[in-house]
Amino acid sequence: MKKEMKKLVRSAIDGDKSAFGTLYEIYSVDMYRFALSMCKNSFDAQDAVQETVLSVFKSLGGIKNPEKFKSYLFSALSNTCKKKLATVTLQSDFIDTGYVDAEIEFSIPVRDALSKLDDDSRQIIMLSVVGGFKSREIGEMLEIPANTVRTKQKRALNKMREELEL
Amino acid sequence: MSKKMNKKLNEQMNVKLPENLSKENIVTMLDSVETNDNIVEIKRTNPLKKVLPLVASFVLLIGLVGMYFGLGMGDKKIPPVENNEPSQVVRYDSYDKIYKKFKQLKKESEYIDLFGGVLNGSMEYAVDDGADADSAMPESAEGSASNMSGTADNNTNTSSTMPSEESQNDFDFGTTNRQEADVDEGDIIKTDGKYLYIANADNKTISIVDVAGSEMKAVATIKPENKGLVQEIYINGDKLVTIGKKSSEYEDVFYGEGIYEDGSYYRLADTFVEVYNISDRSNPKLETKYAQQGSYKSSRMIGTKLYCISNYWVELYGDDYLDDCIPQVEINDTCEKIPAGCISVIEESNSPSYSVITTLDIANGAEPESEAILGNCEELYATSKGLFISESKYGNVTRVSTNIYRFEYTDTGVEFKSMGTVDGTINDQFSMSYDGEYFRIATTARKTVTYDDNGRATVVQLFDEDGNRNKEFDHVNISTITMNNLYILDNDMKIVGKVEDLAEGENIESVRFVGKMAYVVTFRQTDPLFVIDLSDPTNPTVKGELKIPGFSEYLHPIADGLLVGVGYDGTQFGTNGDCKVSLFDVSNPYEPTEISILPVTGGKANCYSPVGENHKLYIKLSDNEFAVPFRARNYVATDVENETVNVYIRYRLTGDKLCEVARYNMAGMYSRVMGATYVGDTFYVVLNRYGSSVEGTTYIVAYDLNTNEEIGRLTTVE
Repeated sequence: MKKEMKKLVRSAIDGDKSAFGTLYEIYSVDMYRFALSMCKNSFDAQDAVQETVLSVFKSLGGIKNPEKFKSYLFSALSNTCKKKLATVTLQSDFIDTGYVDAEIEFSIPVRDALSKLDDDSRQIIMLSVVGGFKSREIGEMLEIPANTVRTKQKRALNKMREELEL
Repeated sequence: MSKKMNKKLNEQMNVKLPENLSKENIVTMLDSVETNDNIVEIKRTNPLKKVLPLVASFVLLIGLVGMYFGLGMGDKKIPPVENNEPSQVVRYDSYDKIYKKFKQLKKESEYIDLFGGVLNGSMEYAVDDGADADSAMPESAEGSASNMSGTADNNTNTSSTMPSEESQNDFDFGTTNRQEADVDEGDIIKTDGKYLYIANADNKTISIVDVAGSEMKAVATIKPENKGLVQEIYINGDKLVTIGKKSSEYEDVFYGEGIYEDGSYYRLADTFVEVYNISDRSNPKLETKYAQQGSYKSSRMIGTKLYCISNYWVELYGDDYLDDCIPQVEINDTCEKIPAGCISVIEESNSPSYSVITTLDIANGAEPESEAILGNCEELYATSKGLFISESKYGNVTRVSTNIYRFEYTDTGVEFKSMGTVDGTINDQFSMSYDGEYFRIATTARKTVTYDDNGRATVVQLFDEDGNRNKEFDHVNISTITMNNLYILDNDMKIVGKVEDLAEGENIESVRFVGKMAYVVTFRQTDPLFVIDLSDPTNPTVKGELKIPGFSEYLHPIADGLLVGVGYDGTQFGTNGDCKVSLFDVSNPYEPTEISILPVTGGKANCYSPVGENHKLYIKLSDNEFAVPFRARNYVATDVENETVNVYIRYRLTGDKLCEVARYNMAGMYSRVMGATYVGDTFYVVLNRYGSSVEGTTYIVAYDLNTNEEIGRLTTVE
């Protein structure tokens, strides 16, 4: 982590709202992309990002290690998304109609390929592709061994590769 | 190869950030939130104008009258359980059946993989919000600001006496603030009245500090043999117990992680326990050590017995999963599989994760005994009468439930007895209580509801028993909403009484079981206080309610009928950013009142108390005195603008009034309170200075409890 980033995180932890805003700005697009892929519709995705930002901001005082800010952020986001998946997917059925992902610019084949993955694998792929996390970090976030992450990631990528003919 | 693929995928996933999520919008949203945990009227900008989270608080008072059988309870033996092996849980006499179970689990996991993308009811997630003790992350971000609460200091003694004036300055030494008086909990600081024992913030060393003299003096440093990160310590006579996350297969420890030769990392997957003989405090000697598979979850100590719990996840991928599917314990460098007879398997479970409970009697040097259950430990609750593990479950898509596994103590360890399931998920270990006969649990559940024209919510059954969606609701606007419940279960873990669907739209913030009463705080915009009478366990009824502004994150019974609440101050519109300590008179459960309110900064500064996340930071100084840490910005005059200050505030109860005695201010910038205790009339606070160059720096600040002046400092890790 670069020195400046560390400084930002520390300022944010000590209550500097603009530092937190700047940090958010850095990760906002990635967070939204991640949420979109997990939540499947932009309404839930936006909701998830907002909720996560709020709750992370509220619990900043608990961050022990500024280096882990990003993985904390994404870990929180992925928890929020999972909860949304479990509780809101049903409503999404009707929200989706007429509100389908106006902002999504994912290439359609990629979206299709992603949607064919199970939630866990999709989460791992997105954490790795969008979040840029290493399997070790993803394992820590999801509380599964890094080996499992690597295996799942490999399988999922192979599957997507076939789908996408990459 | 995968890097290239990642890059390609990345390129094809361009999105434009919606206006909603622009930095400006988010910062505006945050402006309505106060620093470090205080929500004030959150204005969220949703395209569909979803129901806003409601903010404020109320307390449910739940009388467990009739669940309680007098003072003699403590001596009563637990009634024998006739059905030792409920139908859902089985024990096999050989590993073969366990192998079979794992073959089936592997098959299921492949099935899910193959036909992935379907969120079917059988998929399970840990709904722990990442708040696990073994996570390097801070407490969960998602909504569940963890809140502490718990049962009375002595749940068998309802007639605890009012503190007397004489005891006011009767200082001896501090003990860890425990959920149950007779069950010790691990902490980073312990004392025996002569020495302080501190698990340093570098997570690698333990310092023994002599505090008998006028100056603190470090006499020894223990460096555990096992590589890994020290988590907690216990002191019991001349024994020091340290528990840590064990790392293996690599040399370098970097933020708790190892690095493979190929550059990838490995996590700290196992748990170690080391017992040191400290009869010579300056020369601690390693006496016993063992390790158990699985990442460290929690521990307790009752008498000389240590109960250590880890979660062991079986790797289903690859072909050698059968070799790994029996958890192992390493004693004196020899690995042993836990005997089949000590492993309980929940037949319906489809999660390849065990809770491993190892019992070690530190007094007699006997080999540790392990018990395992195929279920993931999320919260541990223990009294001297029983040990309980909770695990949350996705029943179907909308409902989350909690499994509770009940263990009884044997002469040498624990034995699984029964399992129960309740609706909803729990807040923390303090959401549970057990008196030897009945187990009580407070949960927050998500329910699917429809709204009528008047905005009234009605709970609907969206799925039938087979998990098919009810067509009736296909074109009805449904929503999910939180409801809160309290269940009473017998020793067979069958529900005998319940209060359900309380405080619509709110989450439980803290729970405290005191004798036959339960105090439940939830968080909402308006702030009623419900009083619920459970005299008839099968027919609990709401008796009354009371409003209090703000809400408590931690509740502590200080005297008979008096409850201390540490939480956030506020108005009828929500919290105002300040913290407060309140005294509640609950002697009349029908009319609870808030008799003292002590704001920390008088509404002037943003404030937060780490006690909400770590109840061990609440320090009982005497029967009528205690100290609570806060972190506030810009509230005391210092040379530094926006200086963050850590402060321990000392309170005293006189009669039925609570007053502030002293404030111990500590530099806050880049320093954090890790723990505190007292010996005689000296109060010790352990702080960690953080930042890249000083990571792990640990120092102790001492205060004279008579003059309230700082009298010493000692750095244990530079």
